[in-house]
Amino acid sequence: MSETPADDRDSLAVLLERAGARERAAFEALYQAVSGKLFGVQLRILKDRTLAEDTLQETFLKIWERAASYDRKAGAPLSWMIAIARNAAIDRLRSKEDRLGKASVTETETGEDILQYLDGGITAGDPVEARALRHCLNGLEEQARDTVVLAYCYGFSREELAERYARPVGTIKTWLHRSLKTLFQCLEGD
Amino acid sequence: MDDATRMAAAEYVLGTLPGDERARLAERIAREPDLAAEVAAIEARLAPLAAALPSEAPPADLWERISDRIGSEAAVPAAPAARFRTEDRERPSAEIISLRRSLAVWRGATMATTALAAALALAVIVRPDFFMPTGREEAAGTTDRYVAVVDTEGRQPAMIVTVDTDAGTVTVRSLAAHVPADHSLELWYVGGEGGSPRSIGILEEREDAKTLKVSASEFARIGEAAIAVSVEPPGGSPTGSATGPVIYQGKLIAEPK
Repeated sequence: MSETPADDRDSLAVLLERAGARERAAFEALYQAVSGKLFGVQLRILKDRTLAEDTLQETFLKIWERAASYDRKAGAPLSWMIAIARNAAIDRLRSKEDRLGKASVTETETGEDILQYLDGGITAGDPVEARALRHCLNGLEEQARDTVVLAYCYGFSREELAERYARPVGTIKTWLHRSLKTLFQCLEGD
Repeated sequence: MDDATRMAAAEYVLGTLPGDERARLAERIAREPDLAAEVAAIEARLAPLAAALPSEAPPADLWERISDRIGSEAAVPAAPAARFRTEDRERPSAEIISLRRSLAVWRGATMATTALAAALALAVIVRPDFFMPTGREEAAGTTDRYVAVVDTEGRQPAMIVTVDTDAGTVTVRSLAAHVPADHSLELWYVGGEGGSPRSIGILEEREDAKTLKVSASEFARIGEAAIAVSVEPPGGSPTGSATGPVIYQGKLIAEPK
């Protein structure tokens, strides 16, 4: 099944649409299918299990509320749900005031560690898209690339990245923008 | 879209936009469809990275907490658990270690008046090696959890079957399954490639039952398979294939890994 991600995508889309039609069983199946993935994403950002559990609950309530508005043309269902999950986690994180300066700024996997996951064969998403993203991330200068990867996966702020890399915040912003522009140009095939 | 707005959208998705700017951009996204579309496009481009990260199991009771929050349906007391019965003694077997009741079985508002409602919930734990028959590819990243919503075509979902081939668990959760009087419901594994359906076992309202024996080969090609439920004489099909009508069915869906 994982060799045919288009089928998985369609299956998740069907469940999401049926949840949008207020079918609780479809929503429960959707929960069974993606909650582990979304919890992994949120736990990496929030580091705190209790907080991540609350955030996952909030995320599924939002998915339930918004499922009827999901449109296949707008993208893959997993991407849509990941966006909701990440936004919820980052909003929670930013409402915590005391994270800056904690050891968590350095206690992470490296950018290269993270990218290994993209190399780990088939992922939940489209493997072609995963390969394209890996290819384009590879084209970036390593340190600037890692600011993007670590911000995305750990929810680091500019200030936290500045602390981790011992650079001014302005430099981090420059790295982020340069990396993102180059990345998007590559992904768009320029 | 100007470059500054696009970078703000990208940093919004990344999460690095400072708090006040983040709040302002969120308000703009809600008002400006073009900006919302740009944000969605950036989210889709970066999503493969999140999708590739390892899963973490949320706590077992989290679904109940979510379900409690979204529903108008009243909670229904826990119902008797079901059991799988041994059907195929020739094949490799696995033993149920644990069987538990559902804590909150949801029941649909409309019940068939002639049918016995079977609120079944069952967790089956089998030996971990059971689901790893020789010759099966076990490449890193292979999905090992599958879900099927089992229902009648176009009608209310009846049950959810979850198979975790890594943990070796099979969970059947009945939502609105009905057992006709004087009959049994039999659960079938329908493999790919047009193979004959294979009996997984009988769903019965039972307080306790401890044995499951099914073949590893039934699960070897699970990604292409479906689950079906047929109405059978008490105790199950006498012939080894479905004799009564198939009242529920659903395709197994790989859980993203």
